[in-house]
Amino acid sequence: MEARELDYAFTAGGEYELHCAIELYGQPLLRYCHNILCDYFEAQDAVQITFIKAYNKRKSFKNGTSLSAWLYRIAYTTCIDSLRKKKLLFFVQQTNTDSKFISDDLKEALMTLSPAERALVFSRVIDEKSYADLEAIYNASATTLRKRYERAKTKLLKALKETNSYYARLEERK
Amino acid sequence: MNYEYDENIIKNALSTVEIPEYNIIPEVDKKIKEQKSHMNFKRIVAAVLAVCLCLMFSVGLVAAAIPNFKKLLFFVASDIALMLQPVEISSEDNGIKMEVVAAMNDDEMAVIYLTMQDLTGNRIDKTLDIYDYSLTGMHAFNCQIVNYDEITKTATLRMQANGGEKLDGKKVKFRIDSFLSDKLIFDAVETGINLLDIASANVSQTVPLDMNNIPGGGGSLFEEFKEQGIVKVLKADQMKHSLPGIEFMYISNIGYIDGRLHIQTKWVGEGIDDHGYFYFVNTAGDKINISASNIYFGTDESGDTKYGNDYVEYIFDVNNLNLNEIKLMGFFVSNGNYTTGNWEVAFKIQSVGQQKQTDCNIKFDTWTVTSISVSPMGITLTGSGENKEPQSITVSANMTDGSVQTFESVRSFSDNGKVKIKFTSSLPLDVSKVQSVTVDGIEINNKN
Repeated sequence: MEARELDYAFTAGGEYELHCAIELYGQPLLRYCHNILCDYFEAQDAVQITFIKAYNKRKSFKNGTSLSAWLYRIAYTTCIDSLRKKKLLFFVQQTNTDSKFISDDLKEALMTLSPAERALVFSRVIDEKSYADLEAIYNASATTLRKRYERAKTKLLKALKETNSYYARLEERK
Repeated sequence: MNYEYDENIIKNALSTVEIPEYNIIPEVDKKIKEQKSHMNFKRIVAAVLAVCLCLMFSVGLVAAAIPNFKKLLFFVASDIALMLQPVEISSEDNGIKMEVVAAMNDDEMAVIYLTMQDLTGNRIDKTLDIYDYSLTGMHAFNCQIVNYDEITKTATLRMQANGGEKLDGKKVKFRIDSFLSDKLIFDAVETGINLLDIASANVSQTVPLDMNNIPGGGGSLFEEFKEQGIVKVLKADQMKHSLPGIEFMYISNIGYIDGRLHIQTKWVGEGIDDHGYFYFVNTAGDKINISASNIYFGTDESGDTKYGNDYVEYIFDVNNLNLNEIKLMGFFVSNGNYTTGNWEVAFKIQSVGQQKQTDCNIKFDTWTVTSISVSPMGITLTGSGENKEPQSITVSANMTDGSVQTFESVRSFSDNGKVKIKFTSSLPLDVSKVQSVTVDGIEINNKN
């Protein structure tokens, strides 16, 4: 099933539509959650929860709007909730994450951003979401998001420069 | 700023993250099926909670009761929140307020959520450790901090007590007499001891110790020492080797006795719960598992051993190790604050739901299970004999829809030949849907 068809079929759909949504958005959402949580296994849990929540609340999804943006919104709140609970229950610092799929340099740089900033940068740069989609995901105006994104981008560039000499050299050449 | 250039740098960096494919569909399908089987149970519990809340409204308690209970619901899992009953009774002493916020229980086990708040100072912090406490009728306890609010200096704790009898509807008393805080942890302490320099102790360098006259000890060699009755330990205070940053203890002697490495430590700090241990790491820095033990004792003026806990002797079986390739490290803990007081509240506890008990006769080597109880909080095996390895028993609940619920945590309690082992899970158990219980492969049908 195509993305646009699914935007109309998900609300009244069942397990077949859920499977189509997982096939279309599962892997990108896993990557998205992984970049927020910096932990592969927690990202797996977050994606599972995202789809279970989406399935349970499918009647509240507005038919014909972007299912992708709705799923990203759920994934985002799930990741933030998970980080908050982890911090509350175990006093784990946000830097205490575990992923062998991110180089140490990049992880260090990403950790200078808040989880919300990591999510925003990732949605914009890798998923190439439009500001209209971002408004739906992050529940904020395009102007606010643009400012937040610029700030996060500057912060991340600075951190990349400090943590990885390759990016520092690129900056010097610029 | 070159907008696209900057974005490309970030894109290149983020594109280096490659995560493996993950087959999400089976996992999501499984969880959706599981949640369907929990739905009816949740509805019943939610209805019961709604009735409880209505009763609270009717007695005018709600204004005081809801805020703290609500705060608690913020950081406990929703499945647990459904089982919690608000209590909200507090006690204040020594400028510290203790409040039992909520509780849940079945006939054998109770879980209490409580808060401790310092109204006058900074004695409550996130290293809080409740030291001396009790809950009437219960025996085995475990208390851990689940949240600390820096602004209000309030710690929230979860206390689990096991070993109770017919707790439903009982009025219980929860009491705290002392707690520790300002915990200092010294991990991966470099001892600076060269294991190749340690000599064997001859008879004149050892003293006898009566294992029946010591306050305690532990470890895998401890039983062997107990059986020997009289063991040899190192003569006390033959050296003073301090460890970096640690003032509350030092190494007071070290040597080999009968081929085993003995490290004697003297504890000189004022902390009531100062403790620690030594361990070995290999050249890669990984911990090495070896047989080890520790024995607590004291000495009199002539240097002979007596009952006491001024000294702890750590004993290691290092025979199979290449001493060239290992390093002695330490882990030590001390507490800056020891606060005493009298914080006590009494409240009635009501079971979270129905409980079913089935008689059985399952024989293990050293004990026999005579009954199995199933409650929303887990499964309890009750029997007689002696059980030293509750973790070795596997228990699962077979549900009417064909699914199987397993249990992550196990606690055991023994007294006077009576054994109780509780298996709990992070998810409540829907008792009405438990068809049978499997104990180490033996299936026992649940009585309906």
